[in-house]
Amino acid sequence: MGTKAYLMVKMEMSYARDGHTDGMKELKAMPEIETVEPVSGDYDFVIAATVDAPVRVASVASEIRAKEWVKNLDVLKVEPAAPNPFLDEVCSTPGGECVRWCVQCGMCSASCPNVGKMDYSPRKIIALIRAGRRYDVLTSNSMWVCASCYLCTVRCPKDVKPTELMHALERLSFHHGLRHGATSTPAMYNAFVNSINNNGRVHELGLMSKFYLKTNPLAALKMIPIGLKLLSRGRMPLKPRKIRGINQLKTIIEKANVLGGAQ
Amino acid sequence: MGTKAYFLINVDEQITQNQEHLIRATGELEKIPEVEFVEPVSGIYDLMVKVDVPIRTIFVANKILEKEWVTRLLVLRIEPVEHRRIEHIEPEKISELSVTHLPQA
Repeated sequence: MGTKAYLMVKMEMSYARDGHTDGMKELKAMPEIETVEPVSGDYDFVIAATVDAPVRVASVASEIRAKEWVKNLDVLKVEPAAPNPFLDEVCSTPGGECVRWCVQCGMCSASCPNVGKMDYSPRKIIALIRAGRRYDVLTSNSMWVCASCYLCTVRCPKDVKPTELMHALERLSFHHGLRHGATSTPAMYNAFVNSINNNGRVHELGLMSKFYLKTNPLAALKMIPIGLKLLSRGRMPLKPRKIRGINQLKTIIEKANVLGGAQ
Repeated sequence: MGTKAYFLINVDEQITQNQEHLIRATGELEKIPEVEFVEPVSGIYDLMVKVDVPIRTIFVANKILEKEWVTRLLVLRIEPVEHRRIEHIEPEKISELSVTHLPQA
């Protein structure tokens, strides 16, 4: 069974006068297209298309969009009307609300500098969430590999925020104890948050010491030459320096924890 | 044969974030006799509805807009291409057309 979608097409004004018949013929000639109906209103055609893998709705949409008489095209992908608890869980997590807006154009995956290291690309992650594949999503390394560069977010044509989604998935994965075995990112997050909680700023030496002690102490040996250079130039203080008003910051963090439901 | 149209509907965020609520909303729309089918979609709209109405689409549109969870509704009336071509002819040229060129009612 393929993926069903509706493609709404608006014609260029110059073609809208006489080009409807020719446009319909062109569209009907495409094998993925089931029906083409001319409509009046904000669009000129409503196209029903069913595509089977490896063809994707986005590639059919691109093919239509490339026609010179097409001014605008919007894709509405038909979603299965069955209960999907995982989709609901992701949507109700802060940062995950955007999953339903995605049109699977693949811009996020094409923009991601780390996609080669991910089990599933950002586009696939969203498709898996919609398919209810909870275990596959939460055990993958994709969200942990995300570098939070926000390239996907700024390029998304539908204002989906894949970076926020990745952070939401990290929280869910950690909460359910399904995080990817090879990832050391949670240890880094913990060390970072502890440093901020204690000093109000990052103490690099303490942060990296805690991180390597929790993950791979031997790997810290590789960092010694860089550490010594930084120490000799006074770029890495041995003792942590606390900010002024650390108690006020702690109160803010406690309040944020309560509001965010942290345990 | 009545008028056929597609309604593109946006629903309240609370409905879209819970699949069960979305299914219930779909069911409510399917109960309207003029509605042929309702499909939940993802993209800039949340529901795609096809209707076949005996007189005017506005009556069914109003029925749907009465539901408090509907936030936006866009009507796309299905029209044969021939009808659209007639619409685009300049008024001064209409007199040049013979009756046989007009679409059959």
